[in-house]
Amino acid sequence: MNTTTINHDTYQLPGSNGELDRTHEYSERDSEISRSTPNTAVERMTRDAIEAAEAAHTIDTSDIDQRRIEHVGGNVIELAGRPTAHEFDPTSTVDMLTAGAYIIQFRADEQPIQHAA
Amino acid sequence: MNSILKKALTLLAGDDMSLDFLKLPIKARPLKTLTERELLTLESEVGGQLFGPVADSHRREFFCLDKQTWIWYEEWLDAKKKKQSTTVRYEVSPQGVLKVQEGLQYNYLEGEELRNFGLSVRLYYEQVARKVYRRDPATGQKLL
Repeated sequence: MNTTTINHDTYQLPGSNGELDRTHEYSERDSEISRSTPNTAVERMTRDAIEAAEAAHTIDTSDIDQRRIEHVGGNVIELAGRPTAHEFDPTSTVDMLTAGAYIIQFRADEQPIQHAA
Repeated sequence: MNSILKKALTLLAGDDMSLDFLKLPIKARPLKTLTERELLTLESEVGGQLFGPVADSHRREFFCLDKQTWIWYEEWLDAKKKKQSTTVRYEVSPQGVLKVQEGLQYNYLEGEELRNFGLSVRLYYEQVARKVYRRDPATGQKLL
């Protein structure tokens, strides 16, 4: 049976010989990734906005999952008027989410790097 | 540029060499110093104009708060010159667009309103990408 012999001249234990430097690289990369995802400041703003809205509004969640045929209380977008809407193909909700994700990405790309306090 | 450096380069390379490459590049990203809130304000200026002209006594904002949340805000003076406002939050999920409005029950957008909302999102994306972020909406790449 063949056996494998470790060459102790080249084999490096984890944490030795530059391992810490690479950890530093990973933490920098992680920082960049977290800055470019919507889970940072925008998420905080969303939470703030939702909390503010919930504090100010009387929210009835009894029919949150129930599709409603009639538009109770009017239709803001419809009232604002979009006479050319019929000229376009309907936009799917996935397209809407994609558009939102791109905008958040553009916004993150324009912001200076935020250093932790 | 430092004149001594310029003289040294001229001596080395001769008078006919262009030194333009030593000039500092023009700042290509003028929005870089704006905060997130300021960027949102810029976006909202574009979003508020998507639905046509706004009456003098009205102020309208429409913006993308995060990937799945859109906000419509309208403010106006009533007959008694008292400020009135309404805020509508649209929450997009693969199942539909949930509309949350002050004092009213939640409801999913349907029919004409859903189509209008989708179109508004598309127009917002295209215009904000070009006007605010100088991006090609189709590719997401920076416009030259």
